[in-house]
Amino acid sequence: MARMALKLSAAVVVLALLGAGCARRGAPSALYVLEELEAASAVKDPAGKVERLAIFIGNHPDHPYRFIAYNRLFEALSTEMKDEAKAAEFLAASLAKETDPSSRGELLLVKFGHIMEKDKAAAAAFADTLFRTERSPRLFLYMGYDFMDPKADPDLAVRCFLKSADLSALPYAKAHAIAMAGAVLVEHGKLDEAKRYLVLAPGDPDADGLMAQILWGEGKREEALDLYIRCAARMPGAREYKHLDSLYALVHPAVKDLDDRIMALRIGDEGPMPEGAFVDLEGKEYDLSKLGGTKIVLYALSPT
Amino acid sequence: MPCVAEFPQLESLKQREKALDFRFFGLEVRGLLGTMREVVKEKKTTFTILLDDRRLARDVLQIPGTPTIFIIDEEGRIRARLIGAAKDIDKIIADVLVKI
Repeated sequence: MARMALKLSAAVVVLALLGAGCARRGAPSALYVLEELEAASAVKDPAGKVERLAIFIGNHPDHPYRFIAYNRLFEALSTEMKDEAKAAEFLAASLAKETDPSSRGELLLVKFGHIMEKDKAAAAAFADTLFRTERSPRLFLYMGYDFMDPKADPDLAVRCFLKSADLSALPYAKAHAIAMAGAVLVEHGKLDEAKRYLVLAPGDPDADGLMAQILWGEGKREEALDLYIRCAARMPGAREYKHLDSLYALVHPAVKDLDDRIMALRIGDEGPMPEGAFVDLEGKEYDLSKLGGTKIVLYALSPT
Repeated sequence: MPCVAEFPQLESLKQREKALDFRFFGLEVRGLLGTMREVVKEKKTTFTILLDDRRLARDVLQIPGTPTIFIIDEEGRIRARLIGAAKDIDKIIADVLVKI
């Protein structure tokens, strides 16, 4: 009887441990998933890398970073294995499965970048086909950046940026795309057309800087200075590369209030920090909207 | 690498956390975990690096590029959004912290 009870207890323990294992497998931690992606990407043998990345995509078909796996898998096929046909087949198959506009956009950016490297005219034709079907603001924004190349078509760059603005529901992103359209027009001397767009993105530092440049050229120095100051308030580095101190001294030689004017515009209130957790390099989660009672500086960065 | 170039200034700012009564976080937004770890090791980074595995930086915070800096007050409200690299970024951030 005692032996049977012992066996039952052991079975319960084993079942409990199996259950815990299943729970872990069912919901891997955020860091674990990123580690899995890095491990798959670090495989030296290209065929092995392709296999591991495909497994990652299969294991995490809805993970926001699946686009990184798509990108790396495509690169492994195309660049390391030099198998263009398979790379194209992989992209086509992935696109056929992806319905999320943002992830489709990432995949199409990979394809676009690949075409653009080899044939700018073909890339322009490819981009043109996407206007009718795609809904990713980021896709059009990044194609717009590529078409800013002096050898590319500036009209297509403007179209891409305006399409990006049109598709974006996010105010900062929308304003930035409009500002970029204005930047292309300024670059090509179409100042009146540029102004028509730049006034639609007030507060975007690029738009403010460009509009200031136009107004300064028109002799409207006070108006230009106001916009340069607003630009430098949001984009601190602009104070130096737009030569703001010199311009200000030129118009107001005896006034020493530039620091105060910039600071007054630098501080505002965008509303509460959005909810949502980030994970640190050790796997600990942080929701910055819930840290209350302390000031926070969040520095969004790229390590490359 | 404008962001990494600012790491010495960011470390200097991190050292002033207590004096200025704030917390400093880096947020990697490109999904480059391996590269980020290499940078942390090479630069002997002491501030906490967060990973944006839900793409909140792009989809919610709407960062146009990197670096983008958010300064948040004690009530959890975003009081400043600074875009791009700048000389003396540590001083610029400290000045805002003092005023909010």
